[in-house]
Amino acid sequence: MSTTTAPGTPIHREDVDVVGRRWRMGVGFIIVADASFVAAMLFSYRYLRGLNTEGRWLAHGSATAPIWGAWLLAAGLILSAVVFRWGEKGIRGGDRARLVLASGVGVVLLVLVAVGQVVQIAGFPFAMAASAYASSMYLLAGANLFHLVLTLFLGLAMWNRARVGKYSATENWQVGIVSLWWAWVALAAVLSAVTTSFITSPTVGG
Amino acid sequence: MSTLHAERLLGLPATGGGLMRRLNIVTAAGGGLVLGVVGWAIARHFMVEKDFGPDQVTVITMACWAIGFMAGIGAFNGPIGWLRGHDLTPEDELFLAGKDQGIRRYFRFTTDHKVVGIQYLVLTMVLFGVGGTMAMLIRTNLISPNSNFLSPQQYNAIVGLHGLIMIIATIIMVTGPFGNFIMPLMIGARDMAFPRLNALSLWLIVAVVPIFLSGAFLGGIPTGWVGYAPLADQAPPGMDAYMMTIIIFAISSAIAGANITTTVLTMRARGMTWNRTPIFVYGVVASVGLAIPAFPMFMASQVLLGLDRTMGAQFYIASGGGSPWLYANLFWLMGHPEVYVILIPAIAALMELTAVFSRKPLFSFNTAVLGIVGISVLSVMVWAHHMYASGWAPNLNGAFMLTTEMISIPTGMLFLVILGTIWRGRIWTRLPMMSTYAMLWNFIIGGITGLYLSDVPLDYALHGSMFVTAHFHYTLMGAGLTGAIGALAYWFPKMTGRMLNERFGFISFWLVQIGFNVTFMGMFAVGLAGQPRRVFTYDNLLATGNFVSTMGAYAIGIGMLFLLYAVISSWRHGVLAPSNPWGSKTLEWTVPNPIPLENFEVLPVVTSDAYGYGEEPYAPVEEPQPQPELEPVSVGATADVDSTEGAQP
Repeated sequence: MSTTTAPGTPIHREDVDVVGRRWRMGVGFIIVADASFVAAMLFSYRYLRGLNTEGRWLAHGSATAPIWGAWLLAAGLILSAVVFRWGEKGIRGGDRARLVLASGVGVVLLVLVAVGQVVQIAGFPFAMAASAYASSMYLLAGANLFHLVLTLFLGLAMWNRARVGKYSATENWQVGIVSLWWAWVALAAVLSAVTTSFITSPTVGG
Repeated sequence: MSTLHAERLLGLPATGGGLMRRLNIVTAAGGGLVLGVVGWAIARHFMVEKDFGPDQVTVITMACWAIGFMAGIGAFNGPIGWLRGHDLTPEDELFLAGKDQGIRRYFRFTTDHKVVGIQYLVLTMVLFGVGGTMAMLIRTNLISPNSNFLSPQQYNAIVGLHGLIMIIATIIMVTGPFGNFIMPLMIGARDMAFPRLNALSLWLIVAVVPIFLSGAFLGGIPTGWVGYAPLADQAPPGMDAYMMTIIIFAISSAIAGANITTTVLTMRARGMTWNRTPIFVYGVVASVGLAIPAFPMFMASQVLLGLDRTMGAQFYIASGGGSPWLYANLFWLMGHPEVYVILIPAIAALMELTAVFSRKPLFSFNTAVLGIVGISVLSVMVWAHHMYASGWAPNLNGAFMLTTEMISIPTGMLFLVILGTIWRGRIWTRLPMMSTYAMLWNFIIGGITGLYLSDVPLDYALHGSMFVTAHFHYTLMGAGLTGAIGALAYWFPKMTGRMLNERFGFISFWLVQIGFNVTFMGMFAVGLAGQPRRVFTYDNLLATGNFVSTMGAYAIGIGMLFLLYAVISSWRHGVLAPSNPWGSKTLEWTVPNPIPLENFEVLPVVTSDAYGYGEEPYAPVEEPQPQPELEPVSVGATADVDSTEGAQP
């Protein structure tokens, strides 16, 4: 491999946009890995529902969770992601106060959704051991709660760092990355809500 | 940020770091122990007394150990500081990079990719040592039909642990040490894209080692390394160790995969187009690229298992509406790509060094890339060939047989590339090149027996037999581990600054390769005769084959001890290596020994591919000579060099 040296190469220092693009790609790969994990859980729900082993996916007469619960939580998450995105657009234009406000409101919404998620889990009208359906519902709700906790950490960091002036119109790539993650978490909640909207197995178990 | 700022290199001492300066592997172990004991006590108090089983206590204790260990090594300092709005100072980053810390940087949360590469190398060797010792115990038990060297329970436990340890070791054996140490140098980068994530992925695996070793004392892993449900649902708490190991390892793999892929995609030197990117880099990216989506599937399978075991969930329990087939699918959706996660980078390393030692350009670079891409794509479409005999979707068996047999085509391309490179080359038979020959021999056997097993009717006959065990050892060990040893012999001078003792290296090579073929040819024979795997005794008719296999295994063990001696003695007292002892043309050989902290004073600009061998009159590379004017270097010495020396304005 023949090489030469690059005259004027900016050694030991990188442009903030280069670093930002790199982080965006890295977080993209992390999201791919997380999406694979989420897909495995959604597949488990659909697979066991479709298989209906020994007719025990959902035992006859068993209680089920109301479908609207997951949709309500997903709506809250979408709203929080949209609000944060609004703040991200603000900081791109140099409006730091808007980012502080948006991340603060986003965090409050996340807390509300997280509390709602805990309430939903506590209020499931079945135990985890009741059936494969019950187990799957706890699993998906727990996964959503885990996502919420992670996003809450990031949201809090955004609010605090925006408050102390870490971001500006020219240096805001971290905000963009958190916004990307936030959007993914909201999408995952929607996918989960779609999946759990189909409860009864189409298969007669044998 | 991946690189250090200029002002940091202009004489600033590494005085920063705060709490980080006081954290190391000792505080990590202390943190893990303290939090583990606290978790255990709390779990016992609140769970056992309320009629929960031991699995909840075990899982909580292990999780607390892992969190405490990672806190003790300093993994959470960065994120918490970031949350508080405290970014790292230049001094902090210098400290994290290990500047002026000598050998202590190997026991800390150090971010320099060269340190992480050496840490991975040592960790891999330790894992192979433990797993290999277990292999010796297994073979000793099988030396005669009723040796009773181990009890059936001990035998089962050790077989499971051996499998799990070896799988983890083989997954990290190339992408860990060489993907971290060599790959950034090879693409002309100053470090990985995310140095702290790099350290995080390494220390997560260190944290997990005590967890899976504890499985030996918790009833073992009686399921074999596959951990099949519903047996796994009923297994003793050793299974919790398996579960926690996989979950943490999957997180580590995802982080490492994102890091390595991003590094290659965004940090290649100017002028390093895809046609000029060395084939080893393709191999590493293909490996981690497969791991990114595959390992979370495995992780999910273990989360479900954990809920079954600790919370009474019904995912794998048929009477509750679950299905063991769900586990089998999730496991093998990871399990077969994982074979190529192991193999591709090992073979790519051998392709890299084959061009060097044949003094010829790599034969048909595009075919090599096409082969790697083809294997990667097909590897996600073959998982159910592991499930022919399970009864899952028999109508799909034909389709999976076809995709499995198709994968021999891109694999054959890689063979052709290596053979074409060797053909009419001016072969320089040094220790690294021997691994290429051995891999060609072993992988032909492993590959062809794999074709037999992909055939549905034959698989029904051979499934679960020692034939299968011999087949996958021929691929993972005969090709994969042999490739990794070749990579070690090739890059040892760059990683340690010293030449590997080839006399002991050759003794090891022949002992291991002869022993390997004796062991597993014997295993093919007894497998064809019907000996099942994972059973601690067998019929007297199979005694000769098993005795031969055990003798071969002992030869492997002795050979590996020779290699270990060669590595340790060369590392400490070996002949100092020149910066490019093999006359290689890739970028890692352009940096001096010891390698400066940021690798390149001025980033290179690439103007041709890496395989221009034979384009100039051949001149044998001089044998390395002792260089008394150089200071002896410490392990992977990189930090004590003033990297500003000679820097261009």
